[in-house]
Amino acid sequence: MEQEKIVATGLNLFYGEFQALKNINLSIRGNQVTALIGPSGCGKSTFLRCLNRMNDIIPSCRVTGRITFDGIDINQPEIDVVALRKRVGMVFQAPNPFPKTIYDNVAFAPKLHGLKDKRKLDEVVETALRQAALWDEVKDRLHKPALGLSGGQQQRLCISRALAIQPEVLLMDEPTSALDPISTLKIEELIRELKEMYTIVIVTHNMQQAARISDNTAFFLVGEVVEVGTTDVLFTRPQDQRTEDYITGRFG
Amino acid sequence: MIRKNRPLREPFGVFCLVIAVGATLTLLAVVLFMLRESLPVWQAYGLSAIIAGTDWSPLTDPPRIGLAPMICSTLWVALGALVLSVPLGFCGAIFLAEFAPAGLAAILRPVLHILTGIPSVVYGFLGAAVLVKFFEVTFDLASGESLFCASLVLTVMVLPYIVVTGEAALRAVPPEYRQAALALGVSKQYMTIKVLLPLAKKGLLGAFILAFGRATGETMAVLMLAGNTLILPSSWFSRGEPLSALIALELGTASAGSTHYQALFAAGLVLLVFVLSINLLLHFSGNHTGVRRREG
Repeated sequence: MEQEKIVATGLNLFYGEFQALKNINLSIRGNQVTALIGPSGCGKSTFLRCLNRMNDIIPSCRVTGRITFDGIDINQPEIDVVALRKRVGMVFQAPNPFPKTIYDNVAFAPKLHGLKDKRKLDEVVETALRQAALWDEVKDRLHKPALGLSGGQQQRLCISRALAIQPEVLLMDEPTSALDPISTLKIEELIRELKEMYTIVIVTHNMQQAARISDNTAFFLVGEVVEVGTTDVLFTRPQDQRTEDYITGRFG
Repeated sequence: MIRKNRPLREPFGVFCLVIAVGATLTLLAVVLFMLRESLPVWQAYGLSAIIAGTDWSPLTDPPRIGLAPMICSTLWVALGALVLSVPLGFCGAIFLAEFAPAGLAAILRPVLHILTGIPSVVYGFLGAAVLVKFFEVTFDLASGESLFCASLVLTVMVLPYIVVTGEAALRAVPPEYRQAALALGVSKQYMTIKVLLPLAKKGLLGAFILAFGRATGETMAVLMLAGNTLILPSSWFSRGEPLSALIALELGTASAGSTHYQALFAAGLVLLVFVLSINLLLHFSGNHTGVRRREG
């Protein structure tokens, strides 16, 4: 199961004249956690958003190069972006549940994808909430507003909302940066469990977090991948001086 | 560290306060003046006789001043215009906010703003020259004016307001909700209907109420198209005379202080109460283009 799920080859990305990603070559292995680290503005979030084509909604954004997902080039014009995003789910930095009930948040996308049967929908919602370790906390108030949950609960709700469409890959853009340490711990435990079933790519500013939860790490700097490898090696024996400077806290 | 000058002690603050109080008092004075001028008829005839009375002959002896035909005409014209313009306007707003290519939107938006600036007499004149003629010729009528005609022209007049306000409401929905929906593999159409519209509900309601206020208050175009008969309109296609047209047509000939004169002020007060209560409704329905980011 450890073959390459996503492969980026010679990927460049421009916002207008500004080149945000420069010749990125990076593979993401299936059923592993890959962490993207680097200082602010280095392009790691931009890269993450390439993987489900979320950069499409930015008008001035232009991409060249290839990204393959299970061998299929996702940047080709024939790709159905909506179908791609069903297979590549995403969790954002700040928890952003819809101002609906907890149940409706999780059921939102499955409903669109044609699940009308109330009993099956209940099952999907329960499974997704259990996977995000939220079920026990919310099972008695599924029909209460999601915005009444705490920040950490809201973020786990967003994770279960993303899991409800049964994606293969889960992209997480600094999912714990707005959360307290306890909530962060819960999400990290969750990520470790989820990699059994999903391929996870996580952007994080927290290097301890990357070291704790990821199998592979890629270090980004001003739009380039400086170094990529297994997390153990990258954090203990970095090959590049810039990586060492960054992980030892000398800049960034 | 402690500021000695409280804001109001600064000359500019005082100046602004005076202007603001002046504007508020002026509005209050208008209401009070209309109330005072019409008070004798309210006392003599009673609220229900004036609002529900169907006979308007203020010059007979004794004068009869039922406003029901005019109130009905106003409602027919305004609500009819909304029935036509709100669906169109909301669709236009959705198109401009979500689907229009940037180049097209850059042309449409200024055009809509220009449309709001066209004097209503021009709309009325066009309606009389084109629409009324069309009805006369096509349906072989002696005269083509009707409440429907007035509604059609009002539709065109209020449409830009609905589109502009509605678009602002949709754009006020925080971008993270769009991202969240799109990232779930949801089509743009579904996102618009299931996420954006519910979130922009208050702003869209605001657009609706704004349009209703404008439609009830509009005078010139309506006066030129509604047909101006004082009978109770039986349908959208009857002729009628909305309150605004009644006042515009008759105030010049009514002698000051007469029952006729006071009754016209009563009609004005009814119209004012309509528009004011709509604006108050708008005010209390919350911030009318914004969406509260976090409700929990």
